Amino acid sequence: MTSCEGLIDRMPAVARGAGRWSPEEEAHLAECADCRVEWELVSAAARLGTDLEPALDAHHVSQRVLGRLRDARARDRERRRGWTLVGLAAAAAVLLAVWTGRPARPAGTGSGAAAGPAEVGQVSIPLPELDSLGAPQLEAVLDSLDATFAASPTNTGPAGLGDLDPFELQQILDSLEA
Amino acid sequence: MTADRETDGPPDAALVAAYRKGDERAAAVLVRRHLAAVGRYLYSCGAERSDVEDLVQETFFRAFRKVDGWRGDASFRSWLFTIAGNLLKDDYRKRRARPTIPLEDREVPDRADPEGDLAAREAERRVREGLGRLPRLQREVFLLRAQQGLEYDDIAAALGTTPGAARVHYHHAVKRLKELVR
Repeated sequence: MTSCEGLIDRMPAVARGAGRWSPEEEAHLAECADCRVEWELVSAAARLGTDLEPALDAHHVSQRVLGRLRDARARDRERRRGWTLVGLAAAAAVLLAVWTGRPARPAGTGSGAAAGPAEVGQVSIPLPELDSLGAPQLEAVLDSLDATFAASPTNTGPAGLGDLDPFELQQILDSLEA
Repeated sequence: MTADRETDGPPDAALVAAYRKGDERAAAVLVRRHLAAVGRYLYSCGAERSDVEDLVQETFFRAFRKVDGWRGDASFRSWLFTIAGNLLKDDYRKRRARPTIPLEDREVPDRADPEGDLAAREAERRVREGLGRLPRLQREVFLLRAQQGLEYDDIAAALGTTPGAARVHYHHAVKRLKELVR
């Protein structure tokens, strides 16, 4: 005996052509109005849109889809490249800000190899003997040093002081203090 | 009906794997295999005939764009139906209810008979109108079962519900359609 439930479960397969009604099932359909109405619904639903199939060109659709996918991938690459540039620019800005905003290095702490000429010029050497001198006396010291350098045969700048012995240096300092 | 399943050629999972590696021919095979089913589903869900091809394209485009999202839990075709249904979701909100046309009782049509063929077309038109009056989930469950022949497990996976709930939705859909189409 065919049940309504068993018949209903088989309806989609039969409607799609994947099976056939048995004579018993056909007899049930002829007698059961409820199953017959449901069968009409299912078979009508299974036929819906079948007339559209010839109009759908698989080659055309796949070409369009693949073309759009290629375009989308190209756009993705461009977008990624753009974000990479933005990231690099941001990183460069951060580095620049860090570089220009760093605190000055304390005097005398730099290594000799890394120190530039400007830094050498800024190094201060404490000379307590000169602290008590006024401007005219300091000027006189500088003039005497210039005269000493000029008189030196090598004339190599401050290196000329190396020709003086400790006694002569002491004399110069004593004369300045006097 | 169309023999558009994996009856010949590599299985869908193998084609998807090939596409992921860059083989566009695999994508073309998948389109050819599932095109008609997706088109009919969209049309039955209420898409205008003139819009079907564009919607089919969009469905496949979205599917291949997010192909990594398909993990093989449900069939590839079920996954396409999920995407197609989501594509139409917003349209349903805007769609106005269509008037139903009462149906008289009639016999199961004979396709060889021109009068029976005419009656069958009329029945299809009314079923489509009736489907347009159903809640979205009921409509989709009914079509995936009655039109596409999916099992309730596959329907549940495609629509994010349980097989039991899908069965209940199907019966509610049939009951409501019987009222609308009579």
